[in-house]
Amino acid sequence: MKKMNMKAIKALILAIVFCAVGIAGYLFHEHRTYKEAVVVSPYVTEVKKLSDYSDVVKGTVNDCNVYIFDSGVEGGTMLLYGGTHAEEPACNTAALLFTENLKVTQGKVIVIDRINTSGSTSTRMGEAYPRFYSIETPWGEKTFRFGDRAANPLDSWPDPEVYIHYPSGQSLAYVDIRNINRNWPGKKDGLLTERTAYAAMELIRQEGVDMTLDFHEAELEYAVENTIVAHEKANEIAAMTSMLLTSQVFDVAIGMEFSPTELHGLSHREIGDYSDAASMLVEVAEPLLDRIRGITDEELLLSGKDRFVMKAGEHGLLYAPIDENGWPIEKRIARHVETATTIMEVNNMLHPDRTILIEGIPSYEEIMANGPGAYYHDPSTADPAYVYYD
Amino acid sequence: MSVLQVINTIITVFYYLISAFFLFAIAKVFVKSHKVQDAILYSLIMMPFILRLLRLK
Repeated sequence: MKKMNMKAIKALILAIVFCAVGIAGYLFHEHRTYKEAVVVSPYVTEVKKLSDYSDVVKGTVNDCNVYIFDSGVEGGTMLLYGGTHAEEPACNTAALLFTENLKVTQGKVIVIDRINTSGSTSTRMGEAYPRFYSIETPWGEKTFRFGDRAANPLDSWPDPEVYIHYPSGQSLAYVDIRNINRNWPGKKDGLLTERTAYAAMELIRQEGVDMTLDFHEAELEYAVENTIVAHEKANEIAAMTSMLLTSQVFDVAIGMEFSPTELHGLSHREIGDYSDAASMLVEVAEPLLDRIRGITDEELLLSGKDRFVMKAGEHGLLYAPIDENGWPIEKRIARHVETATTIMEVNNMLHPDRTILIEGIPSYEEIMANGPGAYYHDPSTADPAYVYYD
Repeated sequence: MSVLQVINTIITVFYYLISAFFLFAIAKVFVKSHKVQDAILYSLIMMPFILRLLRLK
């Protein structure tokens, strides 16, 4: 009798476990396979895949779309990319705003919305991240995946005990083998994100890119906050951009930092060292990333309001200010977009032979007033020839 | 595929085989367990291995 009872109990336990696995598995699968629609600007010249520059990522989840806007008029070339860290939502959404609205009248602009797509199909264990977030638009909600800073272990596993960065030989944390912002300049025969960085470097070389801008967000507890980190080739541009934006546009200053020469793997260091491009990285505050935050949900992601982070600010424990208005996503996207356009303007002043002229991108004030959703287009009514999926 | 990529692929396959072995071992002790608390514990430990082998998480 006791044996029968134990068998019944085990059967019940297994049934509950398989239900839990089934539900969890469905949710993970839905997150991993969700496709983000992109209604590309009618002024796009060409949409390539990253594998067109190097086949080392062909057939992988990181073979992302590369949106090329070539005016046909001689000038400079700039690469804008988001999605390095998929837990930083203002980055891929800022890049997307360019992809869906950009018109280039001189020079060339290349946009990648999600350079580490694999990271957006994963989540950070133990952090209770939401799977998706949605931005209100005039036609409804536009939904995006929310992910992790590292590639999905399903796409790159196992991790080494210690990650040795190529080619510097620097020892980094094991998990950074899946963090593309520790993999630059990449490795042709490395793991997935190393190969992704390698393919992106090939893009930069083959397209003759003059400047790169990597969109990021950071917790307010982090020292590198609300700033442009610049390779020495981009020092002048970054410094002038910082001064212009701080004095004329932003309510919270944007700083400028020199890319440290001894910290390897980061885009602002390695792209500049291994190509002719002047590489930059821009950060903006994101309270959802702070360790002392409260409930981690879509509301915090979008509003950037958290009373625990605010309390830490009152005690002088943060590197960025935060008040009852928080750091809403429209402000974070607006800062990134305005930083990118100002960098182009400053570049045009300093390097007239590498002029980049663009239209169709809203200003900081316009994004703050109208919301970023006003600039995303409805894929259900768009010409299918202009609809892509990231 | 380069030599390093082939080696990495082989290592990845072996890690999935190791995961399958662990799942089998946990399932075996689950079947043999006589305490409800142990059975619950083993069933919880099985979950991440199942999700990994099914390539869901």
